[in-house]
Amino acid sequence: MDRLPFQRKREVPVDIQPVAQPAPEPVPFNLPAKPKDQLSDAGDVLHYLEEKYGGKSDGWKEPDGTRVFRLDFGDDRITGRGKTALEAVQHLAKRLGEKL
Amino acid sequence: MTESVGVLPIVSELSIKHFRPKGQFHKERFWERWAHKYGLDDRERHGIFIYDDGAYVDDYGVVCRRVVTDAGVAKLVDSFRNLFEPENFNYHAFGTGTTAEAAGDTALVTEVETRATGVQSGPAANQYRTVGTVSFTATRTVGEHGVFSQLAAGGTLWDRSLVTPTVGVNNGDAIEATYTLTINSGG
Repeated sequence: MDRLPFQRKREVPVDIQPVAQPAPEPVPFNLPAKPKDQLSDAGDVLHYLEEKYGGKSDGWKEPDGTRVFRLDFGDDRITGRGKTALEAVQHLAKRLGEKL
Repeated sequence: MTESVGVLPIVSELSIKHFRPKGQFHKERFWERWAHKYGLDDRERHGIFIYDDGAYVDDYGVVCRRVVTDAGVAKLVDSFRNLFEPENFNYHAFGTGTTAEAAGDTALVTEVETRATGVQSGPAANQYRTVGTVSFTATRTVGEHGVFSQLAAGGTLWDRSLVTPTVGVNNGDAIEATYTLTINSGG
């Protein structure tokens, strides 16, 4: 049956579903190390040493709880040990001749 | 409408309350000036609580939801390596800067007053909250807040938030900052 001119076609509500988009690619970034006089924790010290000496650091905890951090220069490695992370990186710094 | 999948957002939220002690506030003058403007018919509707002795607290609610810094997330990564204790992000500072927050921020623009040590809690399994109150010793227009890793000046800035609108404070006032960090799971 023809609709009268003033009759509007009934609008059917449509559920709008979110369209999933892939997550943006992760963006790794590096930050400059803090100046020597602003080092406030083990992380600051280790990043300072990495930046100054050019090595990449890794670290682990030994079975007896000793903390170990190591700077790897490719053909050489220097390791620091301590009861805490701060002691270990300070030991590492000392072995590199740093006075912190 | 779209949504990104595979993202684990860290969401921050800053709420503040402005405390003004007895003797610095004329409640009738306040009421004359502001109650009509906001059409208030009771004194709690706008989050303003006035005590009989003239002291009051103005609850601004959530003033900002930005921004965790690059330096902050770098420290979070350090904490996974046991190079940093993340509970150190418990020190509150206010400043008068109004420059927009940026992830690259490492300090407040113009920090003022002594930092406050927060009281920490976990409102939910995926939330960290620290509440700190900074006291003011001079007239200021507070425009920014930061969560830092130490009480003394310096340290690492975890989050910088603009306080919008700015809050005018006098000597003797205090602002309580409630900072809540929510880490979502999934992805």
